Amino acid sequence: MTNDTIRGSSDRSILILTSLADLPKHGYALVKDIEGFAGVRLGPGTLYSALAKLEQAGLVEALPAEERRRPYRITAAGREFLYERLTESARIAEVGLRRIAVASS
Amino acid sequence: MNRHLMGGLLALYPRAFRDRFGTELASLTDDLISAGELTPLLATLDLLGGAALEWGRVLACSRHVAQAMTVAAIMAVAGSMYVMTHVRPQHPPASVHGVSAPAVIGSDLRCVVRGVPVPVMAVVPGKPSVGPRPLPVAAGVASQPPQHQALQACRSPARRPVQVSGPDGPADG
Repeated sequence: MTNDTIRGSSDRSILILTSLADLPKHGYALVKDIEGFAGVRLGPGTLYSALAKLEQAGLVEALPAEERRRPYRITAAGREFLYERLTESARIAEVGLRRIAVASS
Repeated sequence: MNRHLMGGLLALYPRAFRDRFGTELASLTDDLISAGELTPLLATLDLLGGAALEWGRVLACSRHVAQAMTVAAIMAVAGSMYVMTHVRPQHPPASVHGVSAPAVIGSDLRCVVRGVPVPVMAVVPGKPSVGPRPLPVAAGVASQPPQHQALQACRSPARRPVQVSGPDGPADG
């Protein structure tokens, strides 16, 4: 699976990568964290479908399981991918905000 | 969530996904329901959606395989056509009294008769006949005695009297 496949999917991948950007997290912590910073509550099926895709793309990796829970962490490729996507989004946001400001003035 | 219901929902996932993530998925679902952050109904719907997503991915991979097989089939057909059109036949096309069967490429009349239904009319020597007799040209018919004799007559160097007709009618040699 290529990054283009991830790019073509929804923003769930970006939310998960953003959540994992600082520390490894297991599924429950991911759901709570994403809900906290994005206001989006991912269901378990949705979350693990996205995690499976990210893991297959080499953007996240699983760590040894702790009891019933298995934490995931972002890889170097995942961090680079996230940086590119967020930079691209920031550039688009900047253009959009500037045009809104010009149109409003 | 009920263990049987959870097992049934997990059974809907592709085996590879189930083996890899099934335990974690069940654990997270239980945790979210226990914490009151997810109802069993919503969890069921979400797991159904996840299963659909995973099967969609599996089918997408299969589509790539199907596309590769299609390309291979096209290349095989193209290669066959190239061989048929560019490779010189070992024998000249069969010709009976100057009339050649149009589909004869590197073969003799027998191959044409076996492969392609070309209208062929032949007069079998030594047989009482009012006019040209049509030869059944389907595969395997050539092995029948009268027609076989006619074919052998066509192929013999002596060129016994044989009439072959094309779409425009019989052609006399």
